[in-house]
Amino acid sequence: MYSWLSNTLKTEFETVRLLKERPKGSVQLIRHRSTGQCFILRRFAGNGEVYRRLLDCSCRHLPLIYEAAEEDGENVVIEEFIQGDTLDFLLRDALFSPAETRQIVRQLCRALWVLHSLDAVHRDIKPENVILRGSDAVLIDFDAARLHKPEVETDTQILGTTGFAAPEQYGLGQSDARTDIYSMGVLMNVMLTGEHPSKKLAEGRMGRVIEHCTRMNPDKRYKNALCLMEAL
Amino acid sequence: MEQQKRCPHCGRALPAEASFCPGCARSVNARRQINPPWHIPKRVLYSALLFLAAAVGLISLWSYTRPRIYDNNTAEVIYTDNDGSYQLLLSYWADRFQPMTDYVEELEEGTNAQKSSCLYINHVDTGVNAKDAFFRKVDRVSVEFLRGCGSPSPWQCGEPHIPSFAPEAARASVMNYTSASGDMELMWTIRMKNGDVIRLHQRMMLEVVPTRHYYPEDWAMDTIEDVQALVNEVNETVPAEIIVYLHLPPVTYEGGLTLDHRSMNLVGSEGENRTAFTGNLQVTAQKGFICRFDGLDFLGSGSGVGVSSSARINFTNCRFSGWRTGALAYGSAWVNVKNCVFEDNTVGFHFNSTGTQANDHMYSGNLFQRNGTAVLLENVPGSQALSFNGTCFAGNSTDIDNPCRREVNLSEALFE
Repeated sequence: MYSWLSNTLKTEFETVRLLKERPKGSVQLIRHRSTGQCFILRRFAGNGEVYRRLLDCSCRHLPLIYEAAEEDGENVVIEEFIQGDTLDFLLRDALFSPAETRQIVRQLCRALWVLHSLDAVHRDIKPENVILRGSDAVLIDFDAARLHKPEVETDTQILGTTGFAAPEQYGLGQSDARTDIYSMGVLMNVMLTGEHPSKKLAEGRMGRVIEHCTRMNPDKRYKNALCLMEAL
Repeated sequence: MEQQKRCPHCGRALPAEASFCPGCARSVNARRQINPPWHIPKRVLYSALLFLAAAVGLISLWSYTRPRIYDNNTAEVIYTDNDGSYQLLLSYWADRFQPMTDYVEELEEGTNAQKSSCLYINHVDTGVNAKDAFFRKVDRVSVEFLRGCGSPSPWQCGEPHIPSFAPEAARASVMNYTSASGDMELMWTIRMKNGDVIRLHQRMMLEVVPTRHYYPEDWAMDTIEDVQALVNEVNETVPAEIIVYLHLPPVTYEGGLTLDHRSMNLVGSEGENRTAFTGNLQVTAQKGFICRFDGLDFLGSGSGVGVSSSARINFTNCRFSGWRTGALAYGSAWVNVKNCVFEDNTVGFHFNSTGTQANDHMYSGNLFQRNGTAVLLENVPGSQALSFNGTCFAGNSTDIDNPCRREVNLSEALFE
């Protein structure tokens, strides 16, 4: 399957540009030769199980995963190209209002709920991984995502982005749905204040929600994305 | 590559596990739309429940406090307020505990009648008459006919009033009707000061009893033999279901007369000269209605019995004079006398009936004078008191001899 997909990519697609290059992989924008339709091609080393699980799913706040294949720890994924700006890009010029933040985060919670229902944890929620497609927020990049294993106490790899990663992602425990809740809290605070909550916590009710999301002890956070949606 | 399936869109050969067709760049696998469960936030849920509870409370309060209508289409309603429960009922009789919704009235053809619809109010818990306490809460009362107004001779009713003839009733409405009035339905509407409305219903089915009159212009009634022959013919030819009136001429009949088969009514002459019997009138007629004797004189010569009856008779405007016994009720008879005169008899009126069927207890407007014993109550059916309202006792050796110890009401009788 992996070799079939790799060969197909060479014959049926052409590279438009390289979007991201990392030691463990790359992200390219590719175009289907006959239809002209653009896709995202991900190549990375690691566990691609989350992508394979997303093959059968559809959610307006997650990119469609068209194909995912793995061979010897190398993964190749074709996914939907989301046309829009990332939150990271938008935050360079302005902050979001509480109402805008609430709307975007509620949509991201829906995306998280789908991931969590597949026993997956995103583990890398940050402004660069959220694209605004019109009025819809889309959560992308599941390279750091992993499946939650109840029998494992700590993560084997430290993945995620400093500042947005929950304490348990640094080896203090195994990441689970509440890990993403932590990152959502940080994301919300950055959208509202431009700062990490440890430096400047948002004011008012949103600040209290963020504080609840970012508690050190996962047991003290909202227990899932639905609870966070309700709090919002 | 082992090709195991084809793209449903372009037909290109694909691996069995392929989810995507690189030929047409479309998905070839089935996808399920995943959405978070529909979730009501607790805050919204609590608010909704609070709102619902408040709404239920308000509706309950509203329904509890709003005016209510009590109407079960009968002559009895139980009305409850903060002071307790009241039984409201309608009756034609002086019985404040027996509601009368449906009633069948038999009325003689071509006659008028009058009946009172009486409203009684009892306290449910204690049974005491609560008419005064209840009416302090009443705004107004009205009565109307729902049926019975369309006939040529429509039912008519008076405004509800406090009746003197039924002291236990809270209000009464007197209804007038004729044998041509047809069936009726009467509705009382009681509007309470708190807005509640109580409706009570009474229905009466009027059954007209056919009547046949015999006048001296048409039939021979000159002698007692003529009258007896007529009585015998009526017995043989007229069913007991037909009321018969014999309108007697102003004749003094010599000899006895027997009414022994079916009931009939004897009506004396209305002129200056009255119809009189000097012999014994024996009434044993058990079939048909109550016999009514009106305007007759029974004139004796010191012995014998004026009228001896084992049948039911109502005497009005009759005179019993000069008999050993003026009128005797025996067997199972009930005999009533009103506006009659008993004079110069050894015994005026002798009640010695061992029957069980009681009837009219009002012995009003009579005159007993110069009798040995005016009234002898030896045996009287039933137990209700006999009332002698407006009856005068004058010059009798004994006014009332009451060996059966029957209760009598003499409070409005006159003794001279």
